[in-house]
Amino acid sequence: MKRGLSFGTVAILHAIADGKRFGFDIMAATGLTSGTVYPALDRLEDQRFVKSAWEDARVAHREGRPPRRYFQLTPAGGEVLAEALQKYKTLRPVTIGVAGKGRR
Amino acid sequence: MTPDPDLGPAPRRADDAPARLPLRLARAAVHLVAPIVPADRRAGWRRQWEADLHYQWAFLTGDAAGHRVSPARALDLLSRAGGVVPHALALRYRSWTMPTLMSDLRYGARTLVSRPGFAAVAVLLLGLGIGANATVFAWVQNFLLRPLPGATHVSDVVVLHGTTKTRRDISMSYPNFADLAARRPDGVLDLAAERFTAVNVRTSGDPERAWAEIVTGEFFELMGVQPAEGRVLSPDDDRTPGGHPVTVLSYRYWQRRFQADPAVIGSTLSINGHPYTVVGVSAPDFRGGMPAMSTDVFVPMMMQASLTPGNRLVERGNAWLTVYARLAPGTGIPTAQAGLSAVAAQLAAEFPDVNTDRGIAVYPLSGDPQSATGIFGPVFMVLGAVVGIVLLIVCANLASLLIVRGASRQREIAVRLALGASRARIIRQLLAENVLLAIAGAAAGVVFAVWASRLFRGFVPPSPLPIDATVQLSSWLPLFSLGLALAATIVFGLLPALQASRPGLVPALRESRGTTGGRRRTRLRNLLVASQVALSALLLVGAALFARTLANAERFDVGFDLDRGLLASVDLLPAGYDQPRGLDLLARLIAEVERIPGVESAAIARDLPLKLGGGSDTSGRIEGYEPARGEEITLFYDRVSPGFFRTLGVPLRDGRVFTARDDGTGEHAVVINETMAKRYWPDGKAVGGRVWLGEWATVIGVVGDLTYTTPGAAPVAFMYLPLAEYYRPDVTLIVRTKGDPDGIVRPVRQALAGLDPDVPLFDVRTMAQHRDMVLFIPRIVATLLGALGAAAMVLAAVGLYGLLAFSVSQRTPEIGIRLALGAQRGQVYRLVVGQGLWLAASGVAIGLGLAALLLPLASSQLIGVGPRDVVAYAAAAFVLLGGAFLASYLPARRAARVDPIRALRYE
Repeated sequence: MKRGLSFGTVAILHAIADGKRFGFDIMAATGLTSGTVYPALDRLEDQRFVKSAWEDARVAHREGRPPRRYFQLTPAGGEVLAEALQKYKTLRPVTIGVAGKGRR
Repeated sequence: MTPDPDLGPAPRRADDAPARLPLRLARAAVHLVAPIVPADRRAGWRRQWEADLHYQWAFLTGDAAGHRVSPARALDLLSRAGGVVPHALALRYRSWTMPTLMSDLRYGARTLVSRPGFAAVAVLLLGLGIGANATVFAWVQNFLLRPLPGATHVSDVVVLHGTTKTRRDISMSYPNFADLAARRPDGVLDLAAERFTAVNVRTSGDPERAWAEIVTGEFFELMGVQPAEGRVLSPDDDRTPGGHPVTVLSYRYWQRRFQADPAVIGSTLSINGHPYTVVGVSAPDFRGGMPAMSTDVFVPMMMQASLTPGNRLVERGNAWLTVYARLAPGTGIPTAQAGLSAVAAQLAAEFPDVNTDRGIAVYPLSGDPQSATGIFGPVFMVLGAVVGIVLLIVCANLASLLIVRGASRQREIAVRLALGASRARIIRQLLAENVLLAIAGAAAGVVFAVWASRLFRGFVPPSPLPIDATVQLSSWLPLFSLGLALAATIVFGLLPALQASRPGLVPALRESRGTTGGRRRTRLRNLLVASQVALSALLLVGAALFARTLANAERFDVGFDLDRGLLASVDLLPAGYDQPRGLDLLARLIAEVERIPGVESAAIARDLPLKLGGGSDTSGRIEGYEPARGEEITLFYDRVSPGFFRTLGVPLRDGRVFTARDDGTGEHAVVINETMAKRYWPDGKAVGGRVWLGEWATVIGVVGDLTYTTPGAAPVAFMYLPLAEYYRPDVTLIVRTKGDPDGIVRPVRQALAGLDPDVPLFDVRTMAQHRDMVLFIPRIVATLLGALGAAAMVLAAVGLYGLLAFSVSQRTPEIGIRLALGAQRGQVYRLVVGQGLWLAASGVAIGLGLAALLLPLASSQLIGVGPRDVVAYAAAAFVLLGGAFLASYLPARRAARVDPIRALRYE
């Protein structure tokens, strides 16, 4: 199913494309909360825009920490990200006018 | 800076526990929330969160010796860990929105259709409970939340009232309003003023009494009201006094009186005898600027002199206007209040003679203390409480039904559990059925509400004002109903679903009929039935108290004879009478009416005793009486013709009453009541005393007390002023008859028509009908509580019957054994009826306790009966226990007829 992506979702895809590979890194890069990022990652994975993999347990064990879940963009994810970025690019800078003090 | 995951600082394996507290807390959160996550994803979810938290912890403590982190960093970790809740919920939610939900709903629909009886009862029950609540919701929305339909700016509009030392709801004079508008206080965009008043409108033929709003030129723009035809009034229509004889019709008046004929625009009609040109019709929804009232015509403020007495445009002391202000976007009431108070202080300094101690109070439209909305407020509170209780009873009943249904489906559920369905899956399935019930119940509720919302007319107090009782239903109604139905079925369906899905595989599959029903299940149903009885008891006690109030009020001695009186109102102002001509007409009217056969006497008064809103009052001074510090002498008064006391049969205690000579030309005279005499002349020498009412008036007589407001209210100090001196054109004719008052209505009308055919007689009613007006609220509450209390009792009885019938059918083998072992039929009766009565009695006890706790809140509306009146409580208990006996009798009879042989054969 093809749907317009929210700005938050685009930001998450962008962060992953930029090399941020797991939850808290993506939060730091996007400024979104954990309550937004984690469910969004699951959704993106269901939509096959990202895929995740568990890091090699031996590596983690050697470093004395639990193995992490890393996220990566799929080709489809790369496409929708490029498409979305193209769309945002059409918003060119304008002179910012705000609502005046008219009475009607 | 974001750490590179691969090159990030390596975590250390340190076990200094206190320093790791934030991490432990975060992990505990993961552990706690994990059960929410669907089982197939739970392990991965936990690993992911633990790893990420661990990594973040390592990052935070990386460069800190001994892993000591600042509280800010600890907080950062914990706030990140807070994401586990939405994450888990999102996963759970997604597992539900998967196709299983659709199949749950389909399966639910099939099972409901296969048991149409259960479904129909449940939907009807829900429809009743939801419908009653939706009806009240529609009313509240109409009269409190959207007080001025058709006015598009209404969210920014507030009402301004004048304040004195003691009151915060008085009107404003035109000069004060004009100064206020000219100074445009901070935060206020615009100001408009209006006055609601009765007028005579004549197109051709007889004059008709109609309601006009005299409005300033900004009124329509401030309210945001568009014309439906022609145009609305603008500031240009309101510049020179007397110079703008134009009028805008309300949409309804245009439809009713002119059959929506567009040709009326540009034509002329006569208002109070003055010609006005119709320039437009206001928007269809707009009823006028008075909440819950319906205006017929709008007239510019500058035409005031032809509509109300005096030249009020220049009298600063004459407060008669309601003022509306439109606030600038984002301005709150406190800001506006500050700006307006500053201007009020300026006005008090500039015009100290009338404005000293006067201020301005700002109210939201729905909180206007002067509007009819204020009258509905208490009615809505009672209504809301009562329908809420009905919904609770309905829900308890529904829960009982669902428990029984769960019990009868135990085998089906056990099979599904045995085949590997999870308990959560079963619960979800049962709740899906409830959702379907909720949708159907909400639909039934909306149908009910559409029908019942029309009953609002019955809740409108009888009043000479044109209160608009039409209820417009909004699209919120179905939403409200559905939301309420979903909440009710899910909250009250959860417990039965939890019970039904309790794994107890083996006995259920064996389908043996136990000797008693599941103990937990029975206990829950007992509790539900007892609480239904308790809530019914609360409603019935309330109904009994208000029924006694009505009975008391009808017997109450109000100080005058109610059975032989006729009342009729006249208003001489629209017909163009000045004071001398008006007084002359009224005197001749009294003489004509007294000549009618069957009339004992007649009189004129401005206000009447037994008035809902009380009468007029003024602050005064009394010669020789030194008020205590801070005491303000408030004197209630009425203006009456000399025959008033004779006509109402008010006894004279001392001195004399008015004669035709008390017309202000000689000594100013005042007659006072006993309470006032005792209060201010404790020595008993009231006659000859003097009262300051702008000038000294002498007390010429003392008369007995009357009931001025509600029957049973404490007597207040009251005085009577001669109408001939304190003239008012809008008065009421009081006629005392020898017999039945209905027969003299026609002769009275003819008498007035013979004097002046242009003056309409309106609001003709008997004294008893007038008295009923003040009993309006007790009567409504009694009717409502009685009807809903009866419905609640029937529901509770049905619930009790269902419980006992079910229990009897479950206990058939046990009863069979008892009978086989020699128990008498009578003992079986007692067993079942005893169970029912015991349950009902405990419910009644709780209900009476609740009533004793809650009903004192309604004390102010009770007359001659306390909120803990023994008779009312006993009556409610008796009725409920009687109902409970009947409800237990039928199952008991069935139990007593159990054939021991057949009962035991099943084992």
